Amino acid sequence: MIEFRNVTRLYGKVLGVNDISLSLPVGAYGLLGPNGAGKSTLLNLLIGQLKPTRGTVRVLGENPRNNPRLMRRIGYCPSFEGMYSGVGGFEWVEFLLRMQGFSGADAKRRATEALERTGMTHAMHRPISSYSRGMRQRTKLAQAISHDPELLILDEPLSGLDPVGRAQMTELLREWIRMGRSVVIASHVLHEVEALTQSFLLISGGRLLASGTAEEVHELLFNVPLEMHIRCNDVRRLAAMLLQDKLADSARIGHTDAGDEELVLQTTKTGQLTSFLPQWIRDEGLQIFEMRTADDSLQSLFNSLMKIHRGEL
Amino acid sequence: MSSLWAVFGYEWRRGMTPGRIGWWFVLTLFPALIVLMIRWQPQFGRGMQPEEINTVWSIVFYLLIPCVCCVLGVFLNAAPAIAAELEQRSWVYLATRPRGILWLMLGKYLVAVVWAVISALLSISIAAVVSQLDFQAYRNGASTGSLPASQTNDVLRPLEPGIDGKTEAEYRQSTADAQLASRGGVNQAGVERSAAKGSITDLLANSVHHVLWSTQGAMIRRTWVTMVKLSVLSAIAYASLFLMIGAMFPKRAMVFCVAYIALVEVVLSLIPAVINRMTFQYRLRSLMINWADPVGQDQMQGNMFFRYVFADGGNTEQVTWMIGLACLFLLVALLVAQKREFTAAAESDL
Repeated sequence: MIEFRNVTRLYGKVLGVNDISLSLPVGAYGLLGPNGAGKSTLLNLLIGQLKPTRGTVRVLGENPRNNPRLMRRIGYCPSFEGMYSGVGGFEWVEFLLRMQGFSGADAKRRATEALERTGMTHAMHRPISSYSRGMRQRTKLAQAISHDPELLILDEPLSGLDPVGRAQMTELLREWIRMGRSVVIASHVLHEVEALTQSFLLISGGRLLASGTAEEVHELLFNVPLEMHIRCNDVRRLAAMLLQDKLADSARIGHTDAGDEELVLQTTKTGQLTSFLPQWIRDEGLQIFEMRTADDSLQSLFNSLMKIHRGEL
Repeated sequence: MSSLWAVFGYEWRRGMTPGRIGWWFVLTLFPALIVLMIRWQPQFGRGMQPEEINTVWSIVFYLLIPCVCCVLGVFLNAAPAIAAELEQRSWVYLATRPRGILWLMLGKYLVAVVWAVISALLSISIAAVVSQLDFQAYRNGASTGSLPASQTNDVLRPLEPGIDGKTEAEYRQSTADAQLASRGGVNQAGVERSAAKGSITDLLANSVHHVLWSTQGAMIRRTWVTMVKLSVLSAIAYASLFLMIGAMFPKRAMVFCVAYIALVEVVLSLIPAVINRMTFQYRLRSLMINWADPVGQDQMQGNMFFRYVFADGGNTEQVTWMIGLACLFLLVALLVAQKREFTAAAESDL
């Protein structure tokens, strides 16, 4: 379905994607990476909006650049909004269907159906400018699925949706995948994509760092050192105890935005650490004010994968 | 083709905003306002032959409508055709449709041309009527008597009953006016009656009647037809030029278009050298001379400057040049839009 052969894309001297080779059969794939990883560049290469500086891209067996035949078979939902704000969602989707080559009546029927599937029927004649972010997201998704494409390419399709909307859209996409259609979903949130597919591509710094199933990604996550920030009444003593008991691979003292001291540590033994801490609080008189990981996304994993890639781990 | 009409219809509806409609009215009425101001001059037309007055109107109409009204009309729509989509980031939605860029560009081009042509048609018609308003007589009553005899006779040519809804009494009155004028009484009676009524609508009706039926009106009608043809050509040509510049320099499209018009279409087109033949202005003004004949071909041939800044070829040649250049510019615009990676620019901006 998708084939990249040594694809490199440069923006002047800046690398968008770097020497990516992959071959994906028909199916659903999650493209995971932090912001600025090169996900959108990769998607733009897929839809033919960008041409590779080096290498070749094939989508459904064809070169996607300026290929009207292929455009009939692809649905794309970008991460940004970009819809005409003065018109209604129905008019917008209908217009894009007309551009897709459908007759007026067909376009109207398909637009109505697509907006119904994304739960936008009640507001489809209201101007887009009056839509909430979630409603815009639904409208964007409606235009992508409205012409029944073989391959759906979605860039952050669930961002901006409330939990209910997220669940509805996830169900819609699951249904789409169950119908045997192909989907590529770019996101920086693992559990969003995990709910849809078990096949992942991990991209960071323009490079394809890893690929595999959800289990394989979790395995990677398990072995990756986790960065933790702990604010307490005696950060130096806590650091000494952690290093002495080999619960931390490294530790340093940093400062919070408010100027307070905090302990920043890297650990692969989070389970042991969390069982020791209550003991120290009781026996050593430690007071923990705040404890958090670097972030709740895949940033730690990507940082570690980059280090592995560079031979630093 | 259905995609083209879809873009056309959609863009047309999107253009129906108060702001754009306001601009449309400004462009449509602006030439009439200028003509009104010229016509308002007390000295205007004094001692001039109808042919000379027609020359003035031909040149004024030409400068105001095909050169300003049409150019500005297509400028507002064609120049930002790509920039507008890039700015609001809707480009990718349209570019990922089969031949989306082609239909988008052609649709916007068509909207620009139709928008400007409708404005120009109305503008020419209003300006033609306004150019025939007899303010001099209206303000001074019978005392003027300054219009050339041919004009006054035309003004007072009687109507037939039933035309324009005139009654028998009005017909008799206009016939009496005409008879009075033919005896040297100029348009005193009619003007006095209009002045006494203080009716602008009478003046306008008289002016419309004049344009439609008088000998002087025949000249105006020829000028009208000429201006319509020139306006259509002007809109077709300049829309393609602006679309091309807009595709080449989307971020500074408006600036480059204005600079191009000022340097090439105004300055370069008046330089008596071969290079001016590549400008639309050179072709347009040559067609204006050929179709409206305001100066006279003999006069043109005898003047060295005229011989270099006006083409001496036939009308077909000029029209072919204009359409050919417009097609070339359109083709370049489409090729640039297809080949350029506008998404890359957006990505690198982020």
